[in-house]
Amino acid sequence: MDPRLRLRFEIETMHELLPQLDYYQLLGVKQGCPQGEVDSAFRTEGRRLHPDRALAGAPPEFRGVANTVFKAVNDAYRVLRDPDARGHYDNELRAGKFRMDSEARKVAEAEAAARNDPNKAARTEKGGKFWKLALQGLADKDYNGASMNIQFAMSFEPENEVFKEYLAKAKAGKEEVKKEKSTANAYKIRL
Amino acid sequence: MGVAVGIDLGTSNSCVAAVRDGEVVVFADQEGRRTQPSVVAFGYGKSAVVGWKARRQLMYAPESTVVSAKRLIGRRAGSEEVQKMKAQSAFGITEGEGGNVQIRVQGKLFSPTEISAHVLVHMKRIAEQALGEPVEKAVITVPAYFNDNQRQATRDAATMAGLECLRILNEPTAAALAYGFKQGKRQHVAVYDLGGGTFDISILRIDDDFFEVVATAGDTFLGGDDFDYLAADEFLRLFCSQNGLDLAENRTVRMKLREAAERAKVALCSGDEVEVTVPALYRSPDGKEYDFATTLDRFTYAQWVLPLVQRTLDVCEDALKAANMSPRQIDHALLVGGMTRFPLVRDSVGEFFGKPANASLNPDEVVAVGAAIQAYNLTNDSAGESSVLLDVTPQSLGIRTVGGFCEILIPRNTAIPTESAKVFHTAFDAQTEVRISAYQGESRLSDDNELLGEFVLEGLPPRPRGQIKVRVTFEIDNDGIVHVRALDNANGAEQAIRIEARSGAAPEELRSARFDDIEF
Repeated sequence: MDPRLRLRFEIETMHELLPQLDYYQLLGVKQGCPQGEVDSAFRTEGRRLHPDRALAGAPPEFRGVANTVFKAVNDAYRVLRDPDARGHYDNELRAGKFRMDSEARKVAEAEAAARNDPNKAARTEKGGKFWKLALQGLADKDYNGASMNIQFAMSFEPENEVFKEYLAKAKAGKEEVKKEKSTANAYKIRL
Repeated sequence: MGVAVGIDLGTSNSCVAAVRDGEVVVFADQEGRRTQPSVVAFGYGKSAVVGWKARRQLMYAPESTVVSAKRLIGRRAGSEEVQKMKAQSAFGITEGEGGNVQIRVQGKLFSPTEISAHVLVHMKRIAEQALGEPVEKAVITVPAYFNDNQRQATRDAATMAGLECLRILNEPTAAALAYGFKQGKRQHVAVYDLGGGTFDISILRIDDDFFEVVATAGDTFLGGDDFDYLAADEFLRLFCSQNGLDLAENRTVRMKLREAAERAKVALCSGDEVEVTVPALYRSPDGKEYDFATTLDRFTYAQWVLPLVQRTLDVCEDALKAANMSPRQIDHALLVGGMTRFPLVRDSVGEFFGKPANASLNPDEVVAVGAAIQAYNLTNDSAGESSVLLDVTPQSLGIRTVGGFCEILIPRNTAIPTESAKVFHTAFDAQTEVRISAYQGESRLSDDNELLGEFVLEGLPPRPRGQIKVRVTFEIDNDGIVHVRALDNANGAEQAIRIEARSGAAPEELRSARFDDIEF
């Protein structure tokens, strides 16, 4: 068979099966595969399935099919290339969800962003307001105010891991200040 | 069948090329010039003039000569950039219907899209003259950081010029394609593209014939033009203090000084010092003529423009951060765009990436060459083995939510084509319409982002609130252009909604445009 026809047939089959294919199947890799395999699979499959190549000599009605399949491949790689998002997706997959919707993706992205930049940790608007005050408090070494604000923020986002982590930090800071104060006082008395 | 060409539609200069017998040919005009000024002059006689002839008119009739229309294309009249351009331009810029930008020359109104179409027609004719064959299809390049409105308007300009637009291709990606790098090993390449009006930086991962853009960033209002206006302002200050004049509002004087500044910049690319002279720069109401003359050295000029160069490096920083890379991880830094001839720019880029920047291909032609290769790949049936370009969307796409916030549906640097769906619910009982506003940009507040368009889903059956769900899919195609379609769950009917770009012309108008009166 003409290789171009074979490719077209393959893409059409993928298109028909699309709702049943998970991200790993779209890239042609196993679920537990090392990260490097995901990258090289995308380069191989992306090169092969890209509409600019797949559409060469194809009838115009094939355009939509090729584009839809490639968008799905792109989407799969966008999730699987990022270890955080991939971990999240594995959980979703266990629950029988084949695609990350924009909500699930937002949670995964926020978690990843927060790990690099605490300013982005808040996921709700109200929680964000208190979180901002809390970070400011930490910067000013106002640990009392900071831990109070983190607790306020947590009332809106009780599951936020970054909040929990920083609450521990603020509490540790509080203890530190207490110790400093007691030694400072001792010094004064000695004077 | 007509030939498919690649056109670099630049802010200052444009260039056209095509693949012929396995080689890329850059088409020259009859005088042998390989690039054409993107200048359109109206005036004397009823025909418009484009290119070098138009550029000559700039010196004596700047008010009827349109330059840098690319800086206006797809923008709203009220935007900061358009206001800035209005203050600099000798020709008229006004606000048309629906907030569109209009260019007023000799009492006639033109859209920036029409001006760009004039330039495209000129480039098409140059190619046709060199080939002796009609040219019908083209890949047209745009700055990577162009948003949907600017891309759509550029596409419209191609249609207006009678060209089938095969692809809107990002300039840095085109340049990377021209350089090739088909060495079979994986490499990271940064393309630093500082042109006449815009700045782009794209980071690519190239694996043999697979070109994957990892991140892109830019400033669509930062380029050689800004260097020239800055130097022109310095000249004007000097001229006024030398002669005790106040000419801050005199557009013609500023335009002439801008021309002088551009020539001085070019001279300083190779020389250390340049004599700047403009005879009869200003004639006072009492008939006295003033000449302008000064000496400018490279060091002084560098001091003036250093902040502009620093701005480009800040953008590079941003792109690397988005790609999660450090400058040292970049294997090659490529220089594209006329401004990269300037030694200060070249050295700064080299220093930033910690390795000498590569400028082995002509920075004025390399984008058109890449576009020509892509045009060939897209029209050749046997191109199954050609390079594949995988680009990204430069700005986040979102919708306006309660409180004026912007909810991002497709984040910046997502590989295209791509799509993202969102389900909208009715918020009131018996609501029959849902209004959706789409934006592009990085701000959390939608008003600080660029409005792409508003659309209304109508004819929803009246039901209690929340019962009606409408699934809206936002798609970004291979051109970086946004499409929206809605699936009404109640009716089950899919409806395509085109986000109207603000180029101010309906499709019928685009096709009926005639350019017979352009002098060639």
